[in-house]
Amino acid sequence: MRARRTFSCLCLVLVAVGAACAHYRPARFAAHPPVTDAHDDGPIPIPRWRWIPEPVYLSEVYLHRPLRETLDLSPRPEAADVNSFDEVPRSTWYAPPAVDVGAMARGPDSPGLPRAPFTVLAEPPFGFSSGAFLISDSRGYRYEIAVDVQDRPEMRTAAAAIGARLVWALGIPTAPVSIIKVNAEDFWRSEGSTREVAEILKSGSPPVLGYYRVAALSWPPGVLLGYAPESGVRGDDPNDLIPHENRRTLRALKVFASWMALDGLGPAKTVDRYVGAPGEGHVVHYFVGLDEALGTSAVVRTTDPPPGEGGGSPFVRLLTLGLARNPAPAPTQIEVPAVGQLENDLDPGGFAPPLPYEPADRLQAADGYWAAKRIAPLSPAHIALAIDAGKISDRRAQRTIQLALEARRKKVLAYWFDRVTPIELLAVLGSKVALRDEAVHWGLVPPDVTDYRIDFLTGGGERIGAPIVLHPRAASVVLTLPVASIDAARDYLVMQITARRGKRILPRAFELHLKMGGDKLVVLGIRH
Amino acid sequence: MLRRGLTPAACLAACLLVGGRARADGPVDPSELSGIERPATRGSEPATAVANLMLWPFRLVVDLIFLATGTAGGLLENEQIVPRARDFFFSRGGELGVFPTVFLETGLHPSIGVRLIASVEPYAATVRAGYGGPDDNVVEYRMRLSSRVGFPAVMSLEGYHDRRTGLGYLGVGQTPETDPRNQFRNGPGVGVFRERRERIVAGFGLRPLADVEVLLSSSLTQRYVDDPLDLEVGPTLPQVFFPSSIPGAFRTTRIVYSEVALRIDSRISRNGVATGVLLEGYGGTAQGILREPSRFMRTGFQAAAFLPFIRRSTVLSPRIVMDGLISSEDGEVPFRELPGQPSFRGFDNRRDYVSAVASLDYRWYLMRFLAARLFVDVARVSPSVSELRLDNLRWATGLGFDLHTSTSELGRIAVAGSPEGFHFLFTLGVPAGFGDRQHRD
Repeated sequence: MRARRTFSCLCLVLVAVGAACAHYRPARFAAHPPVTDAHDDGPIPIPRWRWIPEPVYLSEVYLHRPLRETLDLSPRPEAADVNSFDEVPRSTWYAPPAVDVGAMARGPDSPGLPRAPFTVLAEPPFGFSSGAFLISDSRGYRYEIAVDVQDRPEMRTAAAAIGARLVWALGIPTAPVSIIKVNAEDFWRSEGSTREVAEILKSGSPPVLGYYRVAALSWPPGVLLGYAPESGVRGDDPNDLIPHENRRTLRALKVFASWMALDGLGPAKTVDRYVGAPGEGHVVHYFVGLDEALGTSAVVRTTDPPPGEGGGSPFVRLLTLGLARNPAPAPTQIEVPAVGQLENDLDPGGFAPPLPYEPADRLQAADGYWAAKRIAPLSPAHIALAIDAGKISDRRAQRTIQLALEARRKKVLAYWFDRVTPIELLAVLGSKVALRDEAVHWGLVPPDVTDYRIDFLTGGGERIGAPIVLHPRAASVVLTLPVASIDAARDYLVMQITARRGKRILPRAFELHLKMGGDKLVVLGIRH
Repeated sequence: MLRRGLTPAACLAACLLVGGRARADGPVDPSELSGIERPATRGSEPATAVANLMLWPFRLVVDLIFLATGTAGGLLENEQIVPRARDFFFSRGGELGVFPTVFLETGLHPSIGVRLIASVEPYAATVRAGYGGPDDNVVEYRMRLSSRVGFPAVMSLEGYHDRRTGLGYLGVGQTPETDPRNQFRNGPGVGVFRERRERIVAGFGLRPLADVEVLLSSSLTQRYVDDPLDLEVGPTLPQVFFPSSIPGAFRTTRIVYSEVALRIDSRISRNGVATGVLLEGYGGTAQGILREPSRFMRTGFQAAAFLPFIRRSTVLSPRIVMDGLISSEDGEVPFRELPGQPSFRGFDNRRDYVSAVASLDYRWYLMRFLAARLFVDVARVSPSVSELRLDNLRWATGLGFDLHTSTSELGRIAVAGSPEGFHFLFTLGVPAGFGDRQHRD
């Protein structure tokens, strides 16, 4: 009886609490400028090596995390490495270059091509997905060397170089990759190394005039620290304050990977390196394994055995005891061997890494939109220059990759620009606010099919006057704020804009937080 | 004019908001980074928060089990640690770690415990201890020295102590209630007892060929069986049996046992759907010491085939496990030393001189690193091989899921049903490679 009464009281409390708070109260931003640099490059002692054994990773992602998340009703947290303007500040995870066409052609700063003779080192390679080895060139710079697969000359090496150039342009730190020609006599083994370089070179595509084409990934001087954990922080790095699963830069990798047809997204793709003198350096987080980009690891050969597993989803396999029909996929084209299984078509929403990767699982619409905004400025010219870095001799291959990346770019942008109200603030001039619809701006949506409903809210979430509906005929629109909203801005004003394309209301509103600073409006915050 | 690559908002921030954050001594705090001084709230949040608060203890238990006991504990056997746990409980160099644990050290009863691991290649040692009361505790240490000179070899030394209560004994034989060797006082029943057990095992494992393992081990086991303190859990051994039919009870038995085992496993890995053949045979002698009269030999074998069935990823695996104990003519055998049936997935509550368990498993690929399993087991014990019959077979059948890595098994969850009831099976952790045969009972 007593237990029942307690339970009833608890239900009443829950209902009352829910009813009392049944309205939206927007976030309130502090009145200070957005952080543009996370300053996470302060000097620290060298953190220890970190390795994630496969059994540990699998038990974590398949057992512990699902169980824990089932018992956690709180919504997934929004990205924590985002400033008040919904942008990711510069950090050791994100370093956007000024990507003009010249910079794209030159690529990132690097010591250049490795210079023979090369000393083969015993340390394990981390920059490529497989089949690589580490060398030190005649100047002492360290490179990782990877060869092509035998039946696909130029495919893997080109993907590594193109992928590295694109990822660098997106602002994600990665080691630059260049294409060089070598022969077995250029290499000699250091003490302790067991790598048979001649055999590795022979395992790749055949030499031309005695020279093998390889990809050389240039590591900056420093200490390799192993993989960056997918969750939590590095406990021994005082600069690492934001749990990795809540980093937008890591969540966005899923979007970048879908665009570049990159397989195997996971902890093995993020490598930490201590850069600088011991005690004076810091950790930089590199995105690696780009030799699996452009569909190189998804190539289907006619000699491949038919699928060993039953067809259908895991649930269908469970019901059919794994015996359902599963026809073999169509073999990858062989006319242009330098191109992997790279389709022009793509389902950005359905793209998923082969193993659960917590940052990717936590990708939210605002993160995907941010990632798409990084991809959008990479024009066909930028893409062509990135492809140039791959030094592909077959012009058909260059053209195929160009068309595929352009088509996939459009799909990715269209998908993620449709998950939020994709508006950017251009300027605030007096009582006027200039805005731009990114989907219209990048040509993904015609200019005259969108209505924008603008609600004005106080800091507490109360509405100010009636909403305004706009139907602009261009990407940009200038809105004059109503007098009542300007009065409210003396305390705090939130402009909430929701777009409707045709009959569809876009899922998330754009929010602009304003406050009067003296006699002019100051932007305090932006959220998508 | 806007520069390509910079968003309008970023440009606006650069233009309108001068100053920015001056270079500080450390990284920008996450709360300062977002600029949010008060987060947004939605109507449903308080209710969610209350519900979440109610679920907090369950989340905590899950975290503790996985971080401290489950994953870490299972993986300690291979000296592998959950990274997050390592940050908390390991010395800076990572050579020494200490874990607090709950529940699983002594079984399913509430208990507290600790695990300690030291690992300096090629040496590794683990110590675990758990306490759930005077009759529910365990202490174990394992030391290993591995070598790869020529071929893989492992030397190990292990010590073990536990106290368990509430154990049940039905008597010997497949149908204890009708077996004339059991002398019941008031008709058939289950005698409840407690047991104290200490064991030291020294082992040497060798893998001369890729598929072949030779295991030599010697152990000293001391047991003491008596009545549980809590007499309300059920009738005790002397209340059910006449003492003459339960040799080894109410006295300390000390037995030295030495064994040689040979295992041939042609599977390329122990993961979900690998195909191949597993053969294992062993033989050993046991000798009682310090006034313990027992003398007997153990022998047995296990044979299993993992056969591709229709597809490469669907595997049919028949298996037979036989264990036998041959007693000297005059030596009695303590009832706790008689072969049990740990490989039977029903209730392991039959003991006799010979045990046979046959099973048929069908495993199929569900998704990467996860396989499903349908199985059926039949089990029989008998006084001798010649008396093994197909009548009165006990059976169990069930469905399970196996989590595995690319090389080894990681966890198993299954539900088995039998005429005696349902049985929930759960294992987690990498099974030890060498020298695990003596740990099965």
